[in-house]
Amino acid sequence: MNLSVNIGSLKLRNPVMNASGTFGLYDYKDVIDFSKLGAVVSKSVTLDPRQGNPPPRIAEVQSGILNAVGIQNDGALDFVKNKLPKMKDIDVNLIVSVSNLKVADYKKSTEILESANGIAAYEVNVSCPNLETGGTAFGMSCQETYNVVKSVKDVATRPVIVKLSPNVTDIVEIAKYAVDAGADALTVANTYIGMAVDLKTRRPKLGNITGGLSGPAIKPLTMRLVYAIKKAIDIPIIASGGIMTAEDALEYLMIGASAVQVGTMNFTRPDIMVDIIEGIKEFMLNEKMQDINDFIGSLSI
Amino acid sequence: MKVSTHSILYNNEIKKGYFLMGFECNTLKKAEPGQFITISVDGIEANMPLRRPFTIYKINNSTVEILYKVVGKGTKLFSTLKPGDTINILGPLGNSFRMFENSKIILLGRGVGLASLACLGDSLKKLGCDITVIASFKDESSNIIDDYIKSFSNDIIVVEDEDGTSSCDNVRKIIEGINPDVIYSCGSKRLLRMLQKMKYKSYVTLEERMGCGLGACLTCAIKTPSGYKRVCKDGPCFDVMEVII
Repeated sequence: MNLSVNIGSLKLRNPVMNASGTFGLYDYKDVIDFSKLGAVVSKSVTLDPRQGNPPPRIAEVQSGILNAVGIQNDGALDFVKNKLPKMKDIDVNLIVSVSNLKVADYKKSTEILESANGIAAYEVNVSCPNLETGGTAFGMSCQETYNVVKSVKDVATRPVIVKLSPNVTDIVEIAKYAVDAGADALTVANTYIGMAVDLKTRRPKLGNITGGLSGPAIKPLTMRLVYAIKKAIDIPIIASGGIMTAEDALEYLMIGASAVQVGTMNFTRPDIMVDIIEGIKEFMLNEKMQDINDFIGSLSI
Repeated sequence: MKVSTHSILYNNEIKKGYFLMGFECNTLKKAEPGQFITISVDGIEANMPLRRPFTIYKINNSTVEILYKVVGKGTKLFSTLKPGDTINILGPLGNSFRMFENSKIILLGRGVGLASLACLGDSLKKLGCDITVIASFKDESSNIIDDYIKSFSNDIIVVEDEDGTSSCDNVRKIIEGINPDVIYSCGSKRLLRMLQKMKYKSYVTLEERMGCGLGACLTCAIKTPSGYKRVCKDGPCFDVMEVII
């Protein structure tokens, strides 16, 4: 039985990985066997250290969660020097998520990451606010998405996956710009901007007021985005949105995603990705399927 | 530390709105005072993706107890669970309280926060400490002092909002009268700020909305003089001077 898939030149032993920020490269070591996963994706790394947003940073809503962590991290240099070495004995592809507030910083942080070993690919997070154009996310503009992806591609020797923002009028247009700038694959998609308030305290439930909605609530929304992009562009897609079970993952694969990311459920069940992989195997066994690649994109319309 | 599923032995309403849940869990036998667990229930993940954090109330051989108050959707669901129902446990998580021997201790708890200090009190007693519990409640209906808390307490002082005895002024006077070596606190930011202004060595266990509980997601941030720290991994136990509330 073959579960391995290719994301451009990146070969994964199976199509399941975590969504950036929902899984600790070191903190989850005790609860899950990394060597069973297709890949692991780091929390977003920025050029300069970032303190993050004021708490509360997470709120549960119906069938999902809102989060507004604010890309808290110690910067790219610290990542290369202190975080990456701790990952060196772990037998799994490491995808490093790169995020920034300025186009030039994407390039600089990629250069720093290029100097290090042990990275299989980059995932470019374009959902951060662009400080140079008034704070709207790079991923909300075709041209800004292009600029960011281009600046990473100019220096990257590893595959570049672009994680698109769903908070846009036409994600297909933006996807095209990302691909034109050289994206090797797309992650579809990030969280949906949302808000929740507390009747009792009469305050927003998040310190940042608004945050990103994830969890089972968003699965149909993201499924539509994956389908729309797959139909329009020939590029490997990693689907990310509301996956709880093997069935959810398989549905995304069926509509054409080459791999999937699990996010919120890593909070609910820190070992869930192994269950999802086992569930995919079971499905293949029941369906007498030899190769998962035969199933990818098999949706009939 | 691992994820495992356990059967509930009992889940009794010990007072209106307060429940004591017991379950068998060998992996928690060695949990230290101040550490916590997170719980989820099979089949509710779609509606409630977040695990609920609880401090361990009592460990009796392999039986572990949590004491909780029904406040939201999660604890309301927990309160309906019956013996034999299963819960999914992750833990023990976080750091533990710094321990002292043969010392004069105050456990300062507000409301159900006192439950987070019970396991600690039990351990400190075994280390030869003299323990005074100052228990602050809204009124008698939220007084959760039971035989277990009595078992390790040399003295219990109850202060309440109803008669005004729970005011910071009064609590401060009580503490100064005792002149303890160490104070441990839980459940009140107001009392925490008061402790920060007093001269005693004080520790607090904090709670914050939490994602993974493992230190990865950075959602349970608490402000400190050296930037944000994680309640789940750097805490939940902190020196009161270490946090900015």
